[in-house]
Amino acid sequence: MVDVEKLALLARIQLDSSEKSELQKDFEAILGYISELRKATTSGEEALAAKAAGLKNILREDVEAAKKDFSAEELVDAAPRKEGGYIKVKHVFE
Amino acid sequence: MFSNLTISKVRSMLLKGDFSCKELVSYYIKNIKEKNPGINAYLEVFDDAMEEAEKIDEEIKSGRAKNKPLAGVPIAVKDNILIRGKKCTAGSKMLENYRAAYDATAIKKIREAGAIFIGRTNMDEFAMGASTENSAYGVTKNPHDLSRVAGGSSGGSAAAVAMDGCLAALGSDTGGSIRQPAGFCGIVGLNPTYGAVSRSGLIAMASSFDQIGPMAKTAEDAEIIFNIIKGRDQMDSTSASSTSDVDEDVDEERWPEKPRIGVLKYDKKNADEEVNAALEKTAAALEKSGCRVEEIELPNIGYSVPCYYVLVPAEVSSNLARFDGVKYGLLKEGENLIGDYMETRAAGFGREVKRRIMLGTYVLSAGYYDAYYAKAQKTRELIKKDFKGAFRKVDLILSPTSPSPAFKIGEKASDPLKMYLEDIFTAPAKIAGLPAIAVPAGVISAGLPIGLQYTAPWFKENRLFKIAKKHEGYF
Repeated sequence: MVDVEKLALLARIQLDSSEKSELQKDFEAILGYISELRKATTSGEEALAAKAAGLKNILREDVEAAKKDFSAEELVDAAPRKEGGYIKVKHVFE
Repeated sequence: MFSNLTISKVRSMLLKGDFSCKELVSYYIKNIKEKNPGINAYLEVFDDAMEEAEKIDEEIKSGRAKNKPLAGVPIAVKDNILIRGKKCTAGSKMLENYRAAYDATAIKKIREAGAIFIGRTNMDEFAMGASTENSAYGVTKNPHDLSRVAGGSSGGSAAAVAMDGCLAALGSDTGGSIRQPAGFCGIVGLNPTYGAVSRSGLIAMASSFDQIGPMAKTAEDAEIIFNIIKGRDQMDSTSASSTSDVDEDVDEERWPEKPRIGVLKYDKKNADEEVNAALEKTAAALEKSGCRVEEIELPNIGYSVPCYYVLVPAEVSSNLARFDGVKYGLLKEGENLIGDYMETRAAGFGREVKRRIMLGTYVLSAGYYDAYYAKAQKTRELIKKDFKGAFRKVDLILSPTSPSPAFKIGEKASDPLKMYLEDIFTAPAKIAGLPAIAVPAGVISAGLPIGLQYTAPWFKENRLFKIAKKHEGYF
């Protein structure tokens, strides 16, 4: 049984009681379906490939990145709460 | 004069002076005014489109437009691709008033090519869905039958092209979001190879899957747009130059004389009879035209949808963590900071988005990680290996795009699993990062279009365009 309430807290989503019961039901069905994956015969070869997945770190030079066509003000402006050119948040520590 | 236009026709007619760009844009805007209230393909028609058209007209007069391959071409843009200064909502209440601070790379390239952005199109919220019913701004209806969905998540872009509300559109494909609506609306849709088109400025859903791609009336138009938007981009470290990483086994010389086509082996009960019939008709026509046609089996393809619905929600839960009421978009005040997060996300996200974020949180959580996420990653490699093997035998794979034509509005909306199975033929290419194109394959007895799909090896979009042009002659 999935603990929907705990998941909602981890996912930072407030749920009402009808959403909770609906999600509970959906989760059982979806998890049942994706559990099909257990039948896939994967070996160490796939585990290794998955770990690498053809990926490598791509780092840029430690200098100012590509010329930006926007300003910091424009980005801050998109925030719902701001003050003096900064984004404002509530206290992190109580 | 304006019916049956393509990009190359528009280009030559504009340059010849058969009509002006202003006249062309007015034609589409008039069409949108007439049809959009019933279809809801567009969320907004840009009020500067006429102004931009005027500029192009001047460039045509002065000769500067000659170097712009899309000069004066009206293009619609899915509402998750940023256009500087324009609203971009991703179909969500969360971003209802968000305005983009920069252009997506694909937008920048299309703008430089001279296209006119005519408006932004409806979509499933944050591209999660297969019917555009998950949009916070109402469903998009299918121009061929208003009681049916246009498909999703790029349903607005597909319907905009199909209702002649633009010449072409941009969509994005994560599990089938370009190809499935293209099939439902009777147009062409290309999902490019993962990395072929920069994702910079595309609102992220699942970063190892998302790709921007063209939706158009013809394969040639899709090709023109793809060739403009593709390429390595400094702003997206996963983007690649499209000539890299080519499978060495492949003999390009065989093209276009006798390509080997693998027809995907699948359980015929999984698709409508008329879809199966269109596939058989196409296979026969290909064979007659000199292609070598054989059945091809991908043994692990059945795991594609379960694999997809582990990996994608996992990436969704990470990507959508940024919508917290702090940086942009909606804010609903709670008692404290955590309360702000919880209230904002409760109010801003719709049902499917909440479902996927929580599912992703679950499959990534300690104790379940190995059973779901790690297993799905391994399965992803297994499916890739299947495709690699298949492409040693064939040059292209032919399959249905979707199991059925467009379904009724509301038919699958209450059952997420039913909706997820819409991806059964489109998800495999995404799991493997392969390019695939959806092409129209006629109209069935109910008057609805259906689509078929060709899948090519990595970065072999050129094959898709060649075969799609051939295919267009069959229907």
